[in-house]
Amino acid sequence: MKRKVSSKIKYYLNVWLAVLRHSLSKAGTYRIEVLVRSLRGIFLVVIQVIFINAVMGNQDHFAGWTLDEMYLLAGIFNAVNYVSWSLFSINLWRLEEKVMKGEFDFLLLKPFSSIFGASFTEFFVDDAMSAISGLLLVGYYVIKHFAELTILNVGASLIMIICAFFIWFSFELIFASFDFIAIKNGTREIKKQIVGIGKFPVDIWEGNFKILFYTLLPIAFVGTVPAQALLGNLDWKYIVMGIAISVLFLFIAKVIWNQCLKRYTGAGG
Amino acid sequence: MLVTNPKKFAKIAYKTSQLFLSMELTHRAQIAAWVIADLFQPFVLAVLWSTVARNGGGGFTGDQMVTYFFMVAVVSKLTKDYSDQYMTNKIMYGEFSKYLVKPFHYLSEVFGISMGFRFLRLIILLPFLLITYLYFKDQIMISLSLLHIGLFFLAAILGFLINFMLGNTFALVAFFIKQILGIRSLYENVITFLSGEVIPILAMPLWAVFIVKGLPFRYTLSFPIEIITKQLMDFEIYKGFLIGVLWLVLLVILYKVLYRFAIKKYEAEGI
Repeated sequence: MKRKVSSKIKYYLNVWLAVLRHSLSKAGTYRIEVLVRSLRGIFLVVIQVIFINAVMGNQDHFAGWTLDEMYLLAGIFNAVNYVSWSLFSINLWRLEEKVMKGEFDFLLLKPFSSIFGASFTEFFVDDAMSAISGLLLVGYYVIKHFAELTILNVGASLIMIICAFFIWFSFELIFASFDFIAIKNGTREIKKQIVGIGKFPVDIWEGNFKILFYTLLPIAFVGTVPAQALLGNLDWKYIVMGIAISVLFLFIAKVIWNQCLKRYTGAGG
Repeated sequence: MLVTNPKKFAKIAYKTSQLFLSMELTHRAQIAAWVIADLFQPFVLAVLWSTVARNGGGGFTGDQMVTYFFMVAVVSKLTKDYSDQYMTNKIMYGEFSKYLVKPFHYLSEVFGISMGFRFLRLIILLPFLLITYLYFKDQIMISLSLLHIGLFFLAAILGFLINFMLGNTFALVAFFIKQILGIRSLYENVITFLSGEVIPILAMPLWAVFIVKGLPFRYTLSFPIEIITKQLMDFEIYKGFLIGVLWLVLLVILYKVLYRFAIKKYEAEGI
């Protein structure tokens, strides 16, 4: 059983590495696009620095966060956002078109799971370049506050960032699943707005909203919680909660995907 | 003149918007989702900036922020334009060729689609905006004088025209550079940032306000809001209109000049 699982992981890893090789050679052809995306990453940093400074005004703290901590939060969110975008979000975004044209059938014929086929069959190198904005902001914080970081906090933050990817992927998968029920359903726009909340500290919300963003719509785990983990401000129960929620969401997303997939007819063209 | 035959332009635009509406109305679920999505961002930003106001930062009140982002939801429906996306896709995929053989300028079709899109989103959103207004009535501070309302709509029309010309001028870049998606994202980021969609001009530092007021982006969103929320003195309103109109004229000239060069570059190969 254990051997079967590890060989399956190895197989998917090999397939994805082949996808990566293909995508890298494609990116070599579109060099200007890669360059422009890198510039965009830098521009995003400028925008966010101005935005955060405008939010902070003359105050030392905003909703309990200092200026540097706000940079860190924005940086983590950007990194998760743009890496997700290049890894699987664009693939899932294009699912609608594939369903509309009846092209999804080809993916179902391939020797891997439908979720993998829909999510990871292309890696968008140029979009990954926009993640530079995240790396710059996180890098700024890490360099400035290097002495304050502990291995434990860095480890906890990395675990939470992995959970953030799981949650982000689950969201994408759930909303993409609806394409099998109705094309042009517009729910992606809602998803985009929901995950966008993650770039602000969840502490700006009060009462039920705050609870909502830690549970049913766990956006807190996309930016706020990984940042708090690195700052050492996080209770261990949130780390356990983050892991549990990401696994649970992934499971729910898979169930929804499989149920919706049953509705796929292959009609279209 | 950009529009040589206004009657024909209007006729094509009207027909296109009708076609667009009938096509879009087949996807009702999408329309419902738009309503939710359209209200989402202004709501989140209103909460964020109200928190800033509560903290005593920025030099504005929470009510001002609620008003501002409520008006962002309204004005963006009036002025937002997606011509850049529509036209860059057409040029990129070689679909622009059809316009070369049609007996009208392609802008009349793009204008029609833009109007249809605007009409649809506005009509659907209207009841929800009304409910939101009634709910936040005590916090929303807008001027209901006829003069301000009239100037507001004039500024919104000017804002839309600037946005439309900006988008279509930008789209011409796709004739020269086929890998336009990255540049397009950058362009959209610039518009979002400088129009005041995310940071109200009220909250910007003085040096940024000075720059933003000289650029065309403010007139696509923030300017009509500033009028209806009585943030501007009379002379500032006139000055704003003057700068806006100047930008519009400049964009029309820029479009015409650029189009003459761009069309010679078109190869219809698509990618």
